[in-house]
Amino acid sequence: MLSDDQMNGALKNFFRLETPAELNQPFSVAELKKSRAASVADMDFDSISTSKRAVETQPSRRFIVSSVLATLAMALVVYVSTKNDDSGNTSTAEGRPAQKSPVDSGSDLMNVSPQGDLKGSGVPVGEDGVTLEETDKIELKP
Amino acid sequence: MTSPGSGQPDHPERDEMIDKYYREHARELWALFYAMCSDAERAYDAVQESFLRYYDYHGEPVRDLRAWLLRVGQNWLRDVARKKSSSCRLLPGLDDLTGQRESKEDILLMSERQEQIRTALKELNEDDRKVLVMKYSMDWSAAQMATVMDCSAAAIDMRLSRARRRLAEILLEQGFENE
Repeated sequence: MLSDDQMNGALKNFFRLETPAELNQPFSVAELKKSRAASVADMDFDSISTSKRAVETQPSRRFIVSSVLATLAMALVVYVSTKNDDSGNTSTAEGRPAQKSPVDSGSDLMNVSPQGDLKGSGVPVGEDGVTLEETDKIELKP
Repeated sequence: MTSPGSGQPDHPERDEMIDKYYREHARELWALFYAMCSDAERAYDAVQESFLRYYDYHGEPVRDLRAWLLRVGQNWLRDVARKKSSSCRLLPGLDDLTGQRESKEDILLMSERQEQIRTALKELNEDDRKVLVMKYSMDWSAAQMATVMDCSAAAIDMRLSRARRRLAEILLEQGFENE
């Protein structure tokens, strides 16, 4: 560890170098005001450049509008192409033979009138010309 | 200390008084500000700023100009400390050395020693730093320091001795090598 004498020498030397030489010069208000104006100008420049940087990083209104327009255009293109695909599918379906319903596949199904079981229906439903109304009147006896 | 009062701006008598006061007290104010911030240039700026503000001041007469300047400088240092981080600057004393016969290695070594002592000083408390600055920067006696620090000369001697020893310990930990 440094002795007191060494510390004395080191500290005297340190403060000799550390103390600004300007302190020995006379006080000059004009010089001071000039240096203060320069430092204020530096600070202003810093703040201006900072705010300018902030403005540059913000997206411009023009950029936002063009982005929205581009998005809308893309959405329109996607919509139109999707619609075209749908109509293409329909025409393809028309070209194909109609699929047989599973109901049609059966050959011994009972014929029914278009009016169903409505009373007064006189349309014959069978080969023998019996209507549903007549069928209802048949009495079943054991 | 009695202030000359608040004169009119650009009054030659007032300017002269400020200049005289600056010559007599700027160094002391610098030392006290240095003890607060451990930055030679910032402490110097605080001195300049406090005198300049006094120059621009046209309010109530100032009773104790030294205390007024100290308070203004302290407040300015606090503001700056909040706004800025510490900057790395060339040591003022080293500017003079560059024109002399000192080799680059010597300058570098001296710069390193300065930085080590500066760092070690920052680790002391403010009062310890203050007595060291007043002793080694201004060559004040214990009695002079006692009036500023509002304590006895014996207490100053004790504090000075303790501060120097503590600084030596910190420097030893840092591997400081004396020339």
